[in-house]
Amino acid sequence: MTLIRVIGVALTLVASGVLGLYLSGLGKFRLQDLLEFKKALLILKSEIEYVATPLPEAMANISVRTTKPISLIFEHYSQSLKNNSEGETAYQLWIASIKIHKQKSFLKDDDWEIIENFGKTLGYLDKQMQVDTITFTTDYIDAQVSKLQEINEKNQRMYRSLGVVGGILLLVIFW
Amino acid sequence: MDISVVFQIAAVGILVAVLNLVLQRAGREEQAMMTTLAGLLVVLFWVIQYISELFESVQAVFNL
Repeated sequence: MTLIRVIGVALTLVASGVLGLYLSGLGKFRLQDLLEFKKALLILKSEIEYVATPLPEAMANISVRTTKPISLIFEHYSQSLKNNSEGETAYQLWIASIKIHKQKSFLKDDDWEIIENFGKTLGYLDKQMQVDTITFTTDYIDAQVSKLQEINEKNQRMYRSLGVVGGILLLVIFW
Repeated sequence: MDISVVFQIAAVGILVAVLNLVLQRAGREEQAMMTTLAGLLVVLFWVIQYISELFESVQAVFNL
């Protein structure tokens, strides 16, 4: 009986501690993903401005130069642009690529909305239009990043202590 | 009456106080309030049978 109790106590403490750590890490992971996406956008901007690479190739280049999970979106998008036999628009394919790899990143729905909107003007009108949209999206990312950096520190400490104390509280309540 | 319930209530009090402090430091007054309220309810739930016992014995003593 005591053994089961000790095991239960240990499991509860470990689980709540790990949950606290995970929640405290969420903000940091989102920050990393946002910065990675910004990097991808900057690469795309240069590809458009200086080289004028066709979209599928530019996307493939980006996927090589960024890390997962962001690179997966660009890789899938590049592939689907190349194999597009159904006559779908660039925007539809962009949405499809995002949907598949959405789960693997830590970005929030607000971020995805902006990223999906960014896809609306991919390959639309002239060079300047593309560059402007990219600048608009990077501006949003910059604003989010500075906001996140401010609250991350506070939240991290809070979630960590919340996990441990919450676990102990659960133990006392169900003793 | 089991004495361990007193220690349990004391522990819940301490832990809720710590949670309250942490949440208030992080600027989440709403959640801090909620945890305090939840702690109060849990403790009340434990204590209620002893309170009813007390009332019954008071009734018995004064023949009400």
